[in-house]
Amino acid sequence: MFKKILIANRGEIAVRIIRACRELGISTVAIYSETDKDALHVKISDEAYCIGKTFVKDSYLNVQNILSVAIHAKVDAIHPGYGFLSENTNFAQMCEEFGIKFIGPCPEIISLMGDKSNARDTMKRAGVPTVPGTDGEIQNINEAIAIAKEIGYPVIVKASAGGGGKGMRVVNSEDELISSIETAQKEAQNYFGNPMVYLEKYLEYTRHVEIQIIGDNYGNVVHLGERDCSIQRRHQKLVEESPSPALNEDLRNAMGEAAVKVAKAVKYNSVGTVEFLLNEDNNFYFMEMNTRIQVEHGVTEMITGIDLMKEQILVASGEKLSFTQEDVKINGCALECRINAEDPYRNFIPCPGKVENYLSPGGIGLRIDSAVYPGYVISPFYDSMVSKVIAWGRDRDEAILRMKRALNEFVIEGVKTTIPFHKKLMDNETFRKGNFNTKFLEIHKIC
Amino acid sequence: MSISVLNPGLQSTIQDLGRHGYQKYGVIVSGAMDVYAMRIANIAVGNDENEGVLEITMIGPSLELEKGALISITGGNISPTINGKKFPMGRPVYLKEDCVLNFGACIAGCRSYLAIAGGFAVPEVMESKSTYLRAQFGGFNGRPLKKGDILNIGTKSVAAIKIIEKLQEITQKGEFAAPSWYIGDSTVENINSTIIRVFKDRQFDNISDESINKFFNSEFNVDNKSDRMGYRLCGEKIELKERLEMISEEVSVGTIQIPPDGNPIILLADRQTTGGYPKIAHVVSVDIQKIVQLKPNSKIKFKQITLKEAERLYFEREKYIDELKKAIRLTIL
Amino acid sequence: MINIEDIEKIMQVIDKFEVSHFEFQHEDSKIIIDKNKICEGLAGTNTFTKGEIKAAQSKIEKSINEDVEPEITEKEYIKAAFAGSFYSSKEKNEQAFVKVNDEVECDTVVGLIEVMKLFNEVEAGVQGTIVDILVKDGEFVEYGQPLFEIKSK
Repeated sequence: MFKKILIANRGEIAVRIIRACRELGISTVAIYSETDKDALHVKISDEAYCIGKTFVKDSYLNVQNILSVAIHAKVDAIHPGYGFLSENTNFAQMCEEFGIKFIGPCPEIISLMGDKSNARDTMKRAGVPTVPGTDGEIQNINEAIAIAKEIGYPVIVKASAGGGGKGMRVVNSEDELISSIETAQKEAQNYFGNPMVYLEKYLEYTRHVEIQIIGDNYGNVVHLGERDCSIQRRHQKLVEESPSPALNEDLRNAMGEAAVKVAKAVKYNSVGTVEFLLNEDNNFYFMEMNTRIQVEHGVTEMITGIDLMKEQILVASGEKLSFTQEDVKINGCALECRINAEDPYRNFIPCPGKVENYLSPGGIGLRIDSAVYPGYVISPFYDSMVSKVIAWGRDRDEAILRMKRALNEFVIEGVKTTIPFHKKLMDNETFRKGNFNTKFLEIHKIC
Repeated sequence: MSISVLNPGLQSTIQDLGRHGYQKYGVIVSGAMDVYAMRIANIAVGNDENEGVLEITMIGPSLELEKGALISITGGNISPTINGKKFPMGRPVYLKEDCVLNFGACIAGCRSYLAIAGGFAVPEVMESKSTYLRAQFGGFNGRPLKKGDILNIGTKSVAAIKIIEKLQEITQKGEFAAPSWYIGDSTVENINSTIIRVFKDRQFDNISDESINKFFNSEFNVDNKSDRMGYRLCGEKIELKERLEMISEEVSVGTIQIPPDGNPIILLADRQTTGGYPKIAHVVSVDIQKIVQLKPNSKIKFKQITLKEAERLYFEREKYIDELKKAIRLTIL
Repeated sequence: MINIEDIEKIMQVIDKFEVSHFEFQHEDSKIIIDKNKICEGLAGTNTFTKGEIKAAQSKIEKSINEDVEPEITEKEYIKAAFAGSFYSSKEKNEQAFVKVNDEVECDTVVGLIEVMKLFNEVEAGVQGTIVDILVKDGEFVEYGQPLFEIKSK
């Protein structure tokens, strides 16, 4: 079992990791940039080291300083959280070489799933349905034109090294195709250092439904049901819920089994999420796999009662999964609203600043994950997250009601937040009916 | 890409880790005198450790280098400068313009190593790019560099390209971009009296007790006649217990022979393939660097350690080099 | 004076026409918006662009400065620019680079910080006198940790 873990992250996920370590009796080492010296994760860890200036590349991505601290502090493992270094194959590799366990799957799997085009091919071979598209990356334009014609417009050009909603371009007709591909390749090179792109049919009216899985080093893989993350703005998730209003037991099993099949095929040995697109005919297609803990993991924890963070750490330390597929029971319904420091009335413009007053809601069926406290300054240099509010109910209606109550109780003064947006969303007819897809926020103006 | 030789310096030859597997044909090993410095120089520019480097002796050359070259200089500090500016040793340096590399006074040590990303594009002879001076083959036409020579450079490795990308991010005025870090122990320090650690060799017990005492308790002087073949020492004469008729045996880098005149010889890179003189002791591999960086008239003293300890030091050094390679990989992550 | 509303309008235009670099100057205000990735944000969350940051930064600096009291003491320090092991001399048992009361120039090497086997020279950064040495040879230091107290000329 690990004795000491370094958390290579910040904000609410760093706090989450530290909490799990506390419960497991593991010592924690926090790292922080100069700007984050008053951050919550720094205050609650056992040891903390400043590792660089404000900008992310100088601090949270400064692998030399991070490993230097890790070695000095004699940590057994590094937890990368989400974002930052969590899907950086080279970093995972280097940790192993320095004898430090990287809490996540092995570098080969990160690399495989990180290349979105390769991931697609792996899925195809494992018999998981994928969106019709090119076989692998686009090698020549004529091939792309032919395939696009075959699968039918609209199509979407995606960066192999992309992900998280970035590096994608929708193409509506053949005359736009060539220039779109070229632009996408240039952007991919700029953003991700890799110009390779692939083509898929653009499924417009789909829901984004993802399956949470976890595997250990002994070949055991279990799925913990789905999360519906269709409420997105510019491909960034704002609300997630489980179970999905669109799924019935059969579909859940089919998708869960598909996800487990793939995970077992690659010997997946950590937490991961397999993202699917679900169309109106209830056909599901593999979109991408995230090989890290996700922001919305708490939703699954609320309905299954399983502590994913602790399990991830235990599995990384060589333990067997503490539960089987039969043990996983979905109970009730959970909803998460991501509260960001943005003004929903002004096109969600970021509003960093000092939080003068902060009082989070409480009571039955609520969970608040946050790194904010009264007096804390939300920096413009990092993400705009304030809090994740998760509401549980025996059914979806109760969960929504509880969320409304929570949002009404929540006091955050000093910065504008997206609470008003979420309040209005909870009252939206279509949302309440559960009848929406990823185009929901484009169609319905909430604020 | 190429390097032009404006001035060759005292003795500048291309060397790698040596010509191994050919001693049975009477072909000596050769290779870099300071193997440690040579390996570090290669590692710093993303080359294979065994890639050919330029071994620079005492008086350095004047070389014209092209824009885009990635080079490193390790080992003895012979005051390298680029267009008059001090050249930072022990790290990769990216040349943003065509420039001239010069050397000056020997501040510490006397053998310096220049590695260039891509290595030297000279043909391998018997699987090595090392120069066999006496036989006149290997390296650059089997000889030290001459004025007017043009050295062709090979293709940079993927690692070298990444190092260059990182260096290009550094906003530094001037002809070259270098990181602020350097590899520890990559430059020789000036030490007054050098202690060389040795372990017993095969004919140790044939040496008289009095001579053993002298060997470990007196100072020896490095003779002028020291070269790539070996360092000759002057001082107390070392004598055998009785005359020994020996059949020639194996010798390696660091073998200390006692010839009839009693003046110890430390065999080095260009040593002969076998030796017929009694071998009193063997220099520990990690201390070879100390010897080869000594100038004539320097003083040494020997200290005895066990073979086991010598091996431990060797493994420690290899582990260190391994960690250095990882550290360099980290900088280009 | 460019205000937040203007920035918002500009950014809507930029988004709509998918512009990647935009510069605008009006009197004494200047905005530069560059859509190149500036920080690897969290997957699934919003990240800020340079333009959003510049505009927000001044707002924050204002609110912070309102609380911070001006420091009375003017101690100057040479701080660590890396997280690693500090060394006060080139080799073990060798003389330290500097001692208390030594005069130093901007580029005088006052120490070394080793990060993962690679050594970085710590330069004084300012002309002055060493007042105090705050770290021991071999001690692990964090980024920004004061190493020497210095009195500049």
